[in-house]
Amino acid sequence: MSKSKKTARRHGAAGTILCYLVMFIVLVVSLYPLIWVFISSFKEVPGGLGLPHPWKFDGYISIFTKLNIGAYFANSLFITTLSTAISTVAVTMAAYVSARMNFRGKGLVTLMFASTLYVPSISISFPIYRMMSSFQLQDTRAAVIFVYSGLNIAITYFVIRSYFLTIPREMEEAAQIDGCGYSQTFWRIIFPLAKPGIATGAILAFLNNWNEFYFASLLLTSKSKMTIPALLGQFKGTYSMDRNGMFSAIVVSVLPTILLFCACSKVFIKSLTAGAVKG
Amino acid sequence: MLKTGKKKNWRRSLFILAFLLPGMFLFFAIYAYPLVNIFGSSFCEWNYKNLLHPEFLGWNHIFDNFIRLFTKDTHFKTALINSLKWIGLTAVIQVPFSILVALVLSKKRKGWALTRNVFLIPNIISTAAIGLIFLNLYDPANGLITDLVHLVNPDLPLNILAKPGTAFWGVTFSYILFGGTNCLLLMSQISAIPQELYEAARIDGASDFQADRRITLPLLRPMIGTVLVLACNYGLLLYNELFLLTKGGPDGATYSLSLYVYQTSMGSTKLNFALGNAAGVIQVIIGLVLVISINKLLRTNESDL
Repeated sequence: MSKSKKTARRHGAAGTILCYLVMFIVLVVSLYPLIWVFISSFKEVPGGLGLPHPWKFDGYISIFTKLNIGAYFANSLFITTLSTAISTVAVTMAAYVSARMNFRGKGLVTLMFASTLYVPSISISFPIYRMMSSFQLQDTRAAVIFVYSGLNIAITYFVIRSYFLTIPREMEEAAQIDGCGYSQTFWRIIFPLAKPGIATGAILAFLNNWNEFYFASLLLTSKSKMTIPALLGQFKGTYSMDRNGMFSAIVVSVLPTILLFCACSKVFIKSLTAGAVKG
Repeated sequence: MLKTGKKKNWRRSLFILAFLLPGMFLFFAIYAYPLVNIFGSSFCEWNYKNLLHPEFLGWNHIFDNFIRLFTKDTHFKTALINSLKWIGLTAVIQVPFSILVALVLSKKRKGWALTRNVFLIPNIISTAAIGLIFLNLYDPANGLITDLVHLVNPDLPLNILAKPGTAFWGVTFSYILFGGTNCLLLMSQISAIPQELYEAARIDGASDFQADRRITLPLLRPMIGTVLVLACNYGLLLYNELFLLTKGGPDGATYSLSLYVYQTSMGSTKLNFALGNAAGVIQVIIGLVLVISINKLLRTNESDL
């Protein structure tokens, strides 16, 4: 008897149908809204069922020429890259020290980072907003970069720290016997070994910062500085008349993420799984 | 010998301090100071009239802002109730749905990896985009969901987001089924369960359903706890989808705590920072209570970290 036949009998026909039904529902719920937006974006009047007739590209033309959506991508990329770099460096250093060395208050450091995970970021947004104004940073990209650098520290801290914990102690001991100082040990020995873990944490922070909407739309008021999510937020009020533009903007804004995810889903999945913080 | 030891110790402390400093700076600037600030100012009178000079309410009136929130402020009341509802709904709809999908996909039938990846897509794209997509799905004239809903029940209002009752469900539906990340986390835990357990169960004549119920689910408990914490926090924080769909309307019926905080201290004309921060304090406390109680209920400490 073949193996597949055996499995089929074990699951039973009802089980099989149920499984595929669940999978079908998941696919429809997750994908259909996106496909609907994609197809609709080519319609003269977006929405409804069926295929576009005739196919219109007006929305896409207008967001690339009139709206200049490329500039928003540039803002997003600039803000996200810089903030991810700052937070990853800062968190990596703290995570290294607290994972590999003994000192008083070590538990407190971990507790501090962990506690940030459960602080609803919007509840503390007014002091942050005020702080940025008092530094004369209102409506600057620097303010957003600063906030983003701190926003994800809990998750990156745990991801990177748990990776440091997997590196054998002998590595440092050997380095120290060879006369490496503390920072040399870190940069020459541990950092290269921990790169995969650090990358995992950085990807997660990048993804969160790339998609962040609340602080971007709170801190940035001039259109020329806005990130992609903040721009999408503008569509409800300002451009709601231009429905073709709205549909095209949605498609163009999510497409890079989706394509990147399709191309390297393994990397994404690794990062997202590592993000299951146990606090 | 002693001297070099001391010198080494000193250098070691300096190194530790230097490496902790940047992370600690971010922690204090983005979390600690703002937290202290909202707690402190929630006991003050501080609004658009005295922006630069918050005033302590005095010991006799120290809880006035909180009293006002719970007794006089109708928007806050709806915000609190809605947020609690969204936390509850996330716990009873999103999490069980994620568990079901994780169990199904872990059987590794044809197409499981594709389904898992597709399920992740709504979680990896911006929630602003999701909000805007649903705004169009609910469009009274051409929205897909509007059309579908009216096929089932023609009595519902044409504009789902314009009536308080349906608007709440409209917002809920825009996020509640998207449990891709939860599902991924659960699946990673399921794959760590030793296969021998299932083989033994099979020999004893257990069906797949029984094996899931008796083996997988109990072993999954800690991860279900993690997922519950993450999902309930999402429900507590709900803002982006809401902001794009209803902005709290109609008539404040879909306010959430997050939206209340934003509107009260940053988003309207007669701002009251102390009141907004007091609402923020309540949000922080609810978050803490959630985490602690879920941990108590579902997670044993030994499996942590």
